[in-house]
Amino acid sequence: MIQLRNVERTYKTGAGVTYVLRRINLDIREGEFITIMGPSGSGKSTLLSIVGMLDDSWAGEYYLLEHAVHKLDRKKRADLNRKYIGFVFQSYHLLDNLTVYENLDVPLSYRNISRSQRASMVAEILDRFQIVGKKDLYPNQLSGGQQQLVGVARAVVGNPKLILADEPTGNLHSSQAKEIMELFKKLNDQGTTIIQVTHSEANAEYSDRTIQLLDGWIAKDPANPEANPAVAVPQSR
Amino acid sequence: MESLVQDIRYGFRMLRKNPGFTAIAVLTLAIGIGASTAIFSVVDTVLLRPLPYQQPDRLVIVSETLPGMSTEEIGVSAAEYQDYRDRNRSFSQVAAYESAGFNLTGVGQPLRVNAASLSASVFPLLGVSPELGRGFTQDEDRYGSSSVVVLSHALWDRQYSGDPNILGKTVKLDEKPFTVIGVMPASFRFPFDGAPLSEMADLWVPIAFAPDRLSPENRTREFGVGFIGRLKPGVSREQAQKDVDSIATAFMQQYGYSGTLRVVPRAYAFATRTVEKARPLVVLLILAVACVLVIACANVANLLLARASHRSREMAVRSAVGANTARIVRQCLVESVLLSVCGASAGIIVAVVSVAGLRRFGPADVPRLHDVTLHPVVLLFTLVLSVVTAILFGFVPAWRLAHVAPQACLKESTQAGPARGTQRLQNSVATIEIAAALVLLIAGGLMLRSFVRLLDSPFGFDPKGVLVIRTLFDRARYPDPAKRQAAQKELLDRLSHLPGVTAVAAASHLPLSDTRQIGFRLEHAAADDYHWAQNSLVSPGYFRSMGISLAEGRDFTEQDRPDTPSVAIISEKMAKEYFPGRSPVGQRFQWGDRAFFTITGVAADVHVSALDADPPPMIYTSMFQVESGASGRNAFVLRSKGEEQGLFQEVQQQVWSVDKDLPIYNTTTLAKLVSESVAQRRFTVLLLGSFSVIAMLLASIGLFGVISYLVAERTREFGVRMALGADRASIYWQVLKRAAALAVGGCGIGLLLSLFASRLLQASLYQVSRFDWPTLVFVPLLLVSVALFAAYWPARRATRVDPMVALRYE
Repeated sequence: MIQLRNVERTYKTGAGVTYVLRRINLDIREGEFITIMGPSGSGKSTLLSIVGMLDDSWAGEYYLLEHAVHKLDRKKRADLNRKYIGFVFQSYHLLDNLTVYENLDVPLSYRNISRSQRASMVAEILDRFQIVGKKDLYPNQLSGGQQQLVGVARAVVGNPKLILADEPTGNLHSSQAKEIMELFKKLNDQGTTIIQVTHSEANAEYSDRTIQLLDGWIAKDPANPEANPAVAVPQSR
Repeated sequence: MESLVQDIRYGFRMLRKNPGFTAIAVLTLAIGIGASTAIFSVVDTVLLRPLPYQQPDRLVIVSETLPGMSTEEIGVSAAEYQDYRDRNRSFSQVAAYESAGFNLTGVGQPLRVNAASLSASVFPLLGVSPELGRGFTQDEDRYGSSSVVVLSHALWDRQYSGDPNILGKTVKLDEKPFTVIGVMPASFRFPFDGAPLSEMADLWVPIAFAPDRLSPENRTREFGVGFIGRLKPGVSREQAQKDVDSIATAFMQQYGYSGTLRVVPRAYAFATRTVEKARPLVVLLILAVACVLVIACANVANLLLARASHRSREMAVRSAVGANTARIVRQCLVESVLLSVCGASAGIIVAVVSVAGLRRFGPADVPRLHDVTLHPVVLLFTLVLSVVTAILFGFVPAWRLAHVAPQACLKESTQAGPARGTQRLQNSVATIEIAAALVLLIAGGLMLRSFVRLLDSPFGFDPKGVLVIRTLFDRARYPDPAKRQAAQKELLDRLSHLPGVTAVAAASHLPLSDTRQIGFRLEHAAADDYHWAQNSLVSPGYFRSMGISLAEGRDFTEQDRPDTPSVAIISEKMAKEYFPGRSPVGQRFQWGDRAFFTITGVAADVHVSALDADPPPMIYTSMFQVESGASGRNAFVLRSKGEEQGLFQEVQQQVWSVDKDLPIYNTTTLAKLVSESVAQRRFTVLLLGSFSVIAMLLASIGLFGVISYLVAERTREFGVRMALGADRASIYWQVLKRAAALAVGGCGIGLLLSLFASRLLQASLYQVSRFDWPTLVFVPLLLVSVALFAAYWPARRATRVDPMVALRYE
């Protein structure tokens, strides 16, 4: 489903160029549940942003299903994002001035979907996540766990093939975290590909494969044991 | 103390660190303070400052109208003045004055000077004394007594180099010697500019009415005498009005006033009367500048609110590390005060420049405009207002921030979306700004449309390429009309041979320049059925030179002489009014006690007093056939193909080759007369237009600030939306729809306000309704477009939000 070939991401700094990701080669099959781990600053979230097409400034090749993403312009990438990808954020990032119902409607409103169809899709997701009773509440009227539940619901409302979750349980206590992870597992079982970034070993347990990043390099990928043996290579400048 | 210094230092650093914010705030304050101070200074000088006379509020002017002839004010006649003077019970002192003009010769080039004839009581009545010498005595104010003159300070200084020994010297006025008995102070002006029947006088002579002017038969023939009185203690203007009413009733009965010759006196407070003409303009300017001031204050308020909100995290951190409420509030106040001081300093500069500009470019007919100086009280008022605005709007958010627990503040800062309370306040302020700007823009738009309509309307004459030169063949120098006419004809002949000149004529009065009314009675009408018409004594060829078309009949010719039947040409307006449905050619009328005039032609209507005043009924008579008080006045009009300035030199030579002592004055062109006649309107349009544009810019800056703040506060929200699939267009829409809502809301309120505000403009509009739909549609569209343009830049920034950065920004 996803193929990354020699993907690199750099930032210009006063002193020159800082590499955030280096020669990333990664294959993810449809229906996999992947965990990306690594210390802070290792490039996990950057990798997730590139896969999610929130970041344009990278080099290399990226294939999503049959699409060569690296050859697409910004608009076409945004189209792919809308069609295939759902996001879950650590800080939920629900829109404060919208109700739960409206928050769920937001991603659908950016797709070419009629109002009535959107209404039925939102109703279905509210029912599926058992949050019908909360549809008229604002985010600040919900607990953290409930907010993230809405965050996950918002990610899946458009039936994405791929869910990208950046520290989805980072702001939750353990029982809420467990609940969310169970939910991800269930979605994965139903066929949704999931890539999560986490520091939690417990969360990683839910996934099929855990990829370790270090200083921008893939230090460990069970599917590709020779991904990069030189894990101790320092940052290039 | 040390901490205060630290706060000040920190405040300066904050202003330097945010040059955009500082520049906009300072500029806004400067415009608000500067424009308001300048205009309020004008108001103070023109409307509120007491006239430079003793107890000016007790001075009253009495002037008459002839309602039967729908005349404007005509002053009073000399005999009526004596009646009012002798019979009134309301005034402790009264005085008469009259405009006059003299040829001043004997000192360099002959000079035409404005003068006034005054009764001896004027100076004591006004409570002013000459700077040098003395005023007139009762003896000198008697017909046939010795000729004396009091000079204005300006004339004394200009023409006699401020000669301290001027008293007792002789000056020649209209060839007659006058002894200088006094020089008035520089500040003295009378008749007051703006007062009826007045011009700025260069010198004053005793009025000394000739006996024939006081005769009963002249009571209703010659008006034009100004009457001023000082109310007795305890007597009100209303009582004075009743008094003069009863005096007028009595003398009209006594001398048999009847028909259209019945007069109605009106007693005005002198102070009110002098500024009545300027009042609509000044009131308009006050409202306009008040709008600008409101917008400026609102802008500063919005900027400070936006900035304070941006700094909530900083304040929370300060609070978290131990700053108490007072310290945080003081920090904010110090910054606001610094900002105000900078804005106020720039405002004073703007005010000084604006006042200088108003004095230089303002219309001449606004009384005392040229005396305007920066008014310290007004300056203080606007400074205080602006500084209080800045402090208040800097203080309120600071107070709020200082009273929120740091952890709550910090927590709030992690939420996506702006604080609703602040947002609502900002939205309201921006809406008010837009509404105020729209009111001004609509007023400016209506005035501009009026102005364009005015310039597009037919003048009745063709002003292109016509030079106007005035001279005066005064009676003292030309007592014999035949000799004067010979000189006038010779001059006309010489001028017609100048190279490039295609037509030459002369007239006693020109449109948009000077006016004169005469009373006439149609043949077969009742003996007391008099009417008024404008009159000018013109030479043959006048209509061709002026480009006035003759609708019917013939022009004057050389054959229209004093010994041939009197003829006249009337205007179309007069033809329609007095000879409806028939040709006036061949009809006759009587002017005064002269023989009947036969109408030989009908000329196109001409705007006489102003372009925006309807053309009045007009009677032209031949200057070579009719003798009158205006026979010596000559404005020569020369239509030419060449350069007017070069022509002037040649005309001057020709005039002085006929008579070296003929004064040449008020040289101009017809085009300039047109331009001068719309000067006040142009000035109003210019000022109102400037205020409108300033208001629109300030309102746009205000909206820009609000939307920028909104974008900054919603950065994460836009990041989330982009992550969820929002494209650029939808982000633009998110931002611009807010701007559009504010702009449309503001315009809605502004339109409603305009419906009331434009009533004030009604009288100033020319052929444009105050509900002029193109203005009411175009101006809001313009404002909404400008508002959207202002919002476009922050919206553009919103579309460039990097979702990665936005989502990580916690």
